[in-house]
Amino acid sequence: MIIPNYRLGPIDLVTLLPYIAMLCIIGFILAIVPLLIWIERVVISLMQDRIGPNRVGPRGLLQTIADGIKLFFKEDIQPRAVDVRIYYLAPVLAMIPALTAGATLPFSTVRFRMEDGSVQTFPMVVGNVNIGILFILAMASLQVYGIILAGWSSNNKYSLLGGLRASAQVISYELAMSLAILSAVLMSGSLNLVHVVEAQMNGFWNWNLFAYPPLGFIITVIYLISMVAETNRAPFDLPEAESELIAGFHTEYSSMKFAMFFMGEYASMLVVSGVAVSLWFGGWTSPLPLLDFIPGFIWFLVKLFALFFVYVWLRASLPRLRYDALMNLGWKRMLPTALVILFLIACWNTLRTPQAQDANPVSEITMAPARAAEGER
Amino acid sequence: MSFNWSLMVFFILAGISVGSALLVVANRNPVRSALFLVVNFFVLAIFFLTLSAQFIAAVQVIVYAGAIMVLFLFVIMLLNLGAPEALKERGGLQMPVAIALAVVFISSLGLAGSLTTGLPPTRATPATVDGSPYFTNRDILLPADLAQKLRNGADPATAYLRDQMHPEVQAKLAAYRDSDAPSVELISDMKRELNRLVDGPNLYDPQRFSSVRLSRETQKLLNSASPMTDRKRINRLLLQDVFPLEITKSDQMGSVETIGKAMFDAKQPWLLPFELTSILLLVGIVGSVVLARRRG
Repeated sequence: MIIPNYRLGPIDLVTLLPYIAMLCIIGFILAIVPLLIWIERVVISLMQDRIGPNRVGPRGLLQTIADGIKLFFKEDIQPRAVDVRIYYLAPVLAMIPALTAGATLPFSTVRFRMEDGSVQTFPMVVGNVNIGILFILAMASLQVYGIILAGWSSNNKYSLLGGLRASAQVISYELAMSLAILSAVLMSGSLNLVHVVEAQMNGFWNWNLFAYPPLGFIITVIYLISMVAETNRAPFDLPEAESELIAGFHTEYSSMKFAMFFMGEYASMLVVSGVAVSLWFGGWTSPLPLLDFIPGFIWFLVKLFALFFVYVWLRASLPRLRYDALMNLGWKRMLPTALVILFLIACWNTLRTPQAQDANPVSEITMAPARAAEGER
Repeated sequence: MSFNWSLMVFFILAGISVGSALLVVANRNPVRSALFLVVNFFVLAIFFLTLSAQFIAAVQVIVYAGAIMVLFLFVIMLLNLGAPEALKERGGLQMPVAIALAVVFISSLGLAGSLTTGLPPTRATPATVDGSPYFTNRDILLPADLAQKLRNGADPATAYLRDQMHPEVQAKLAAYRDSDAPSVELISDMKRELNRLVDGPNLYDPQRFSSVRLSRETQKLLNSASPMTDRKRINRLLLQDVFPLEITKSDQMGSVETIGKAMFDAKQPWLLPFELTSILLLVGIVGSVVLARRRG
C-alpha cells in the first residue's frame, strides 16, 4: 500500500507522522481497553464453562462501556486517613508512564511516493530514537511508583502490604526482563526498535524467537514470564490478591481513580506485549513474504491480541503463586538462566563474526534516502 | 534579539531541580522526601537530554529514579519510622555543621564561576544546532577513527575529501599509524581542513557519494534548496554523513554508539578504568550475596 502523495496541500505528511503515531497510540490504548476487558471475560468464561457477559449489547459487548459509565458516576470517596496529595497522585503515576512508554514502539510502516517518483518507507513511531528500548525500560521502571504510593498513601495495612509486594516483585522481575531485552538487542544489533524489527523481516524464520536456536526460544519464554510479573497479572497478581489482601493497593480507591488503575494496568500490558512483539515476533512485518500486501499495523495487532490471549489463558489456568515461590522463580531460576543465555549469545556473536564491531547494522528505512538518490540518477 | 527558548527551558528545569532538592531536605515526611528526590533525578535526566546525552538520560531514569529510589521507598516503608514529629532534630551539631558546609559549597561555586568567566564560553550544543556550520575540536568525537578513515580513503567520498585537503595535512595523515593516539595538532589540522571543505564549493556529486548513506535532512536540502545559498550547511551535513560516528551530529553526541565506541576503544584511555569499575561492582555483588546468605 503506497500513499501516492506525501503532501496534503501545504502540509508535509512525513513530518506529521510522529504526531499521527502519537494520536494512534494514545487513542488505541484508551479505546481498546473496554474491548480487551470484554475479550478477557468471554475467554475466561469459555475456559471455565460459564456463559459470561451476555446482557448489554450484542454478546455483552457493551458491558464494559456500561461498567465504565457506572464508575464515572459513582461517588468519589476519599477516606479520612489518607495522605491526600499522594493518594491523588498515585493513579496518575500508574497510568501516564504506561501511555508514555508507547512513544518509541513502532507499530507499522507507511510508504510514500516522493516528489521524484521514488517510494520511501517510513516507520510509524512517535520517537525514532536510538535509545528506543531503553526509554521503554525507563518508563516501565517508573510505573511501580503508582502502585507503591497508592498502597502507602491509603493508610491501610492491606494496601501497604500490596504496595510492598508490588515493589519487591517488580524489582525482582525487572532484572530478568532487562536481561531478556538485552539478549534481543544483541541478536539484532540495535537498541532502536525500528532496526530490531527490520532485522527480523522476510518471514517468520527470521524472527528472534527462532534465532540462535534454542536460545531465542528460551529467552522469549523468560521475557513472557517476567512481562506477566511486571504487569502484576495472574498468576503473579500478589499485590492485589483478593483472598488475602481484599484488593491490595487499590482497596481504598473508588470511582474514576479506581478506573485509572485499571486503565494503567491494561495500558502497560499492551506496551510490554508490544515490546515482546517487536523484539521476538517480528513486529509489524508479515510472517510469510507472500502476505506482505497486508498492512503492517494489522500484523502488529494480530500478534498483540495473540499475546493478550496468552495473558488471559494464564489467568484462567494457573493458581496464584506463593510469595516465596515467586521470589525463588525470579531470582534463582530466571535471572541466572537469562544471564547464561545473554553470555552465550554474546559468545556466539563474537565467534561467528569476528568483525561484528565494524559492521553497522544497515537499516532498510534509513537506507531509503540513499536509494532515492540512486533512483534520481 | 530573538527569545531564547533553550535558556527558558533550562531555567524552568533548574528551578524545579533546585526546588525539589531543597524539599528533599526540608520535608519532615521521609516518603515525601524520597519522592522529591525522584523528581530531582528525573529533572536531571531531562537536563542530560537537553545536552543530547540520550543514553545517560535513559540510564539515569532506569538506575536512579527507577531502581535505587524504589528500594529507598521500600526500606522507608518497612522501617516504620513513626510520626514525622519524632524525627525532628533536637539540638546536636548537625544544623550548624550543615549550614557551614553549605556556605563553603556556595562560595566555592562562586569562586569556580569567577575563575571560568575569563575563558571563552564552551559550547554545550553542537554546531549544527546553533546555526554555525563550522567544526570545533570538540566536534571530532573519534579522532583516531577519523584519521584512519581519511588515510585509507576506502570509498570515493572519503578519498575525494582527503585529496581536497592541504598537502601537508595529507602527509601527516599518511604518516599516521593505527596504534598511536592522534596528536592535538593533527586533530586541529583535520578540523581546519574540514572547515575549509565546508567553506568551499558544494561537495555533492551523486557519483562521489554513491556509497554514503545520506540522512533525510541532507536529502531534503539537496532536493529543495537552491544549491548556492545553503552551500555551507549542505557541506556540513554531507561531511556528517560521510563520517557518521567520527564527528558530531546534532543528535548523536551522547548516543549509545558513540559512547560504546569511545568506551571500548583500546586507543582511548577509558577502557581500563571502565573495566576496573565493573570488577569493583562485581565484587560488591558477590559481597552482598555472601552477607545475605542464611547462616547454618
